[in-house]
Amino acid sequence: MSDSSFNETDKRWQKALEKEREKMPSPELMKNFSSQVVEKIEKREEKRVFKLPEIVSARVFVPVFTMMILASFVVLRLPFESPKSPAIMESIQIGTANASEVEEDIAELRELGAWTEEDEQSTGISSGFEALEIGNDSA
Amino acid sequence: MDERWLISQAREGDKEAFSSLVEIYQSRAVRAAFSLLGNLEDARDSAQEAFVKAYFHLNNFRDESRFYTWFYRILMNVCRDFLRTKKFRVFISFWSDKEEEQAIVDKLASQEKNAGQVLENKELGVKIHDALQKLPFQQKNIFSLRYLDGMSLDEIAEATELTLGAVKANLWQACQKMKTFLKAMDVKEVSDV
Repeated sequence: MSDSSFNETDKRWQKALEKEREKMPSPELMKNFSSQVVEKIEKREEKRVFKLPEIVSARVFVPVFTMMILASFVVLRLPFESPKSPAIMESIQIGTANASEVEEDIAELRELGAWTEEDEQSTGISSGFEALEIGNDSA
Repeated sequence: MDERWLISQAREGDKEAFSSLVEIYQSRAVRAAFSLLGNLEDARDSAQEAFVKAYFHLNNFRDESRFYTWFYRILMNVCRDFLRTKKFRVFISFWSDKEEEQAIVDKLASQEKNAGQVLENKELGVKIHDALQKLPFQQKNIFSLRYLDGMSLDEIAEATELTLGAVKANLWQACQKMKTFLKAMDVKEVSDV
């Protein structure tokens, strides 16, 4: 391709398509074109207000967030012992308490009227506390 | 209104100024998009999308360059993305019936040409756009910028970010292919190119 042949071809095409260049899209088609562009801009601006900051939504953070989600699942599925309930803790305390401490507590309750004969019968603990066998003390 | 002033106002968020800027280039943009996509509705949507993108990236526009060549790069990318992501069917309804009728009335009134010639010219447009769609994207782009938009070779180089030599080479190849395609379609108007 020489410059002269290029220029000649270029000129011929320019002349051949001269009338095509004058043709423009119909006014019907272009109706409200610019106002629709402005509407689209405004809609996109509204979306941008509710969009996360770009740094947070950046693709580089995708693996970080994925790892965080996976890690939280792993943690939730780890086996662990649940903390003991207050009732169990209390029974452990009684089990390890010595006989004199329990007797004192019962005496206090009796004074307050909170310890009745029915309680004695149901628990099997009498004022003669010697009958009660408590693990540590008997050992 | 001065284009530079409209751009500076639009940069500050003045949408009316940007709307005026759109009105200056909207027809040219739709026509250019039509050459690349071959579908009028798609061309309109793509041109609108390109203007929206241009608004949000106005700060990237350097004042020493021409607005349309800068905008055209955005338009070209939007059209390329469109072609990549969506299958499209080519149909020609570029020139509406209304415009055609008006053209016929004008020609009859002036006694210069008859209605048959006007229709024939429309047929030429159809064939040219049909042939254009057979070209690779870059050649189609450069051919339409040169002969349907009327850009200078330097402007095309700026808009496509190619060297002047690459523009000429692409244009040359596009011309040779178009000549073959149009001859096969029996288009007389371009028989001597």
